Amino acid sequence: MSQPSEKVFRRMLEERGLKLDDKALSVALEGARHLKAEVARLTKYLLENPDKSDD
Amino acid sequence: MTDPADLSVFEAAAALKSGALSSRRLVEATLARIATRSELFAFVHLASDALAQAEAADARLSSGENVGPFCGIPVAVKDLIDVAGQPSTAGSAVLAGQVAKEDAPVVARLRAQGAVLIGKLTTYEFAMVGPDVNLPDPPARNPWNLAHITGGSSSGSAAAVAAGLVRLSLGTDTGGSIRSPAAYCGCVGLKPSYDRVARSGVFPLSPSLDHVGPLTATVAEAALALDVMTAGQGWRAASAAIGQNIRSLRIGFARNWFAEDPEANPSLIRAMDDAAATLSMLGAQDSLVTLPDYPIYEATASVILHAEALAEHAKLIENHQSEYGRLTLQCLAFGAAISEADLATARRAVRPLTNAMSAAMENYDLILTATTLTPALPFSAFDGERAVWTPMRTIAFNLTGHPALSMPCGFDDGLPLGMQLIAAVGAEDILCRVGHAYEQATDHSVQRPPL
Repeated sequence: MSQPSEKVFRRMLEERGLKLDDKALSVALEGARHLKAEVARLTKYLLENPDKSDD
Repeated sequence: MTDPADLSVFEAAAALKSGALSSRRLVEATLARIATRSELFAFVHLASDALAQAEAADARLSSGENVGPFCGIPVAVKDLIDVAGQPSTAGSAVLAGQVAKEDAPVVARLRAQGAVLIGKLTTYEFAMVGPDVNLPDPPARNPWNLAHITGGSSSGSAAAVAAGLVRLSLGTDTGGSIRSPAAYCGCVGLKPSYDRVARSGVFPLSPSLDHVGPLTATVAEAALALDVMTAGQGWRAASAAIGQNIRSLRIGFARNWFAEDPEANPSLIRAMDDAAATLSMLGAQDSLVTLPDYPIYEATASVILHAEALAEHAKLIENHQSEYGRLTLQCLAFGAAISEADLATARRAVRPLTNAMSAAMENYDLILTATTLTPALPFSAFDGERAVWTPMRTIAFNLTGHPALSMPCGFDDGLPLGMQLIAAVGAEDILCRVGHAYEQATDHSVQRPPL
């Protein structure tokens, strides 16, 4: 799971109409990268713990 | 003579029904109490028709009508939940001037009983993040120490109850927003089972995780409030088992969820061990339980929360971005990095995680663990530039939908600590039965802040 670069994240914010100053952007990027790391953790969890409810 | 503002809901209801007390007098006493404790910033609005509501309740009481237990009782509502005719701003300049046209259904149920909707309570902006000292409404302050936060986002809801301003407030809980301020302020906070309490008329943060519930001074009052809020919907009454002994109930003590965390406050660990011992002395069968690892629940819920929150705010951001608080906008921006595929991954994890939690709880009637790992932080820990996340053990049950109750279990340096009880979906009666028994056996819940 790749982490967004600042440039990519700026584009993501623009797509959502979000405008942040540099300081706020830096904090938001940190938070966004944390969430992406959580997604990677979930992907790993799902591989190790497949949902068998419908089996 | 007892100040009417100090009466429990049960005591006030009995006095109102007997004619020993009028709702008008009770509401006047409540308004006076609120005025003397304005330094808490618990309220953002007081109802201009509070006394008229009280007089209407008095008329119903004196007519001999078979009224419900909240007739004539003041109730305060988090400013995220609509109360007809009162401001509904979600703690944000974005919605400044907005007045609710209708009651949220949960409020309508209380109003139909004759409850006096006395005002709106401080919330973190859109229930997202706080405290933020740069918003139009100052953050609520902890009644036990005004230099400390209340936790949030139901910050005014907890401060108002803990300070004795009202006995019942309504709050919302998406990741712990009822339970953590209840723990930090020393009151009871009940997050019901998912979908037990209607969420319409409540500004959404993350619809998959949002819950509405009561904050009260005692467990029995929380149970009563929940029953009124959900009557006739087929749920087991939360108050049905209040007063029953807890002998032979099987309690799983999830000690590893907090005691092995280096952030856990030593006083909290001691208080939790004491709570487990107290429940054991009351006849419950305590044993240690290993719940699934907490961080994976937090990860799943965080991804869902941020993705859903940004989607909920898309329209407002388009038109009112400059009016958002800095911290809220920063937090909403986290979600911009979450793709639809990421969100789908998180949603796929919910069922196996819920099944794993239910399986771990299967051999127990309820689980005991900590609500938060520390007492409330001081305001000085917050610089207004970035959010500070305090360690909690709450959001897992927003994800799984299990009901959870936070209640006082001790103090550290004059600040309250909270323990959390969790049960199977729909088993709020067991939570309240055990919580009430614990409350009766200890003196934590009768402590009052030094205001």
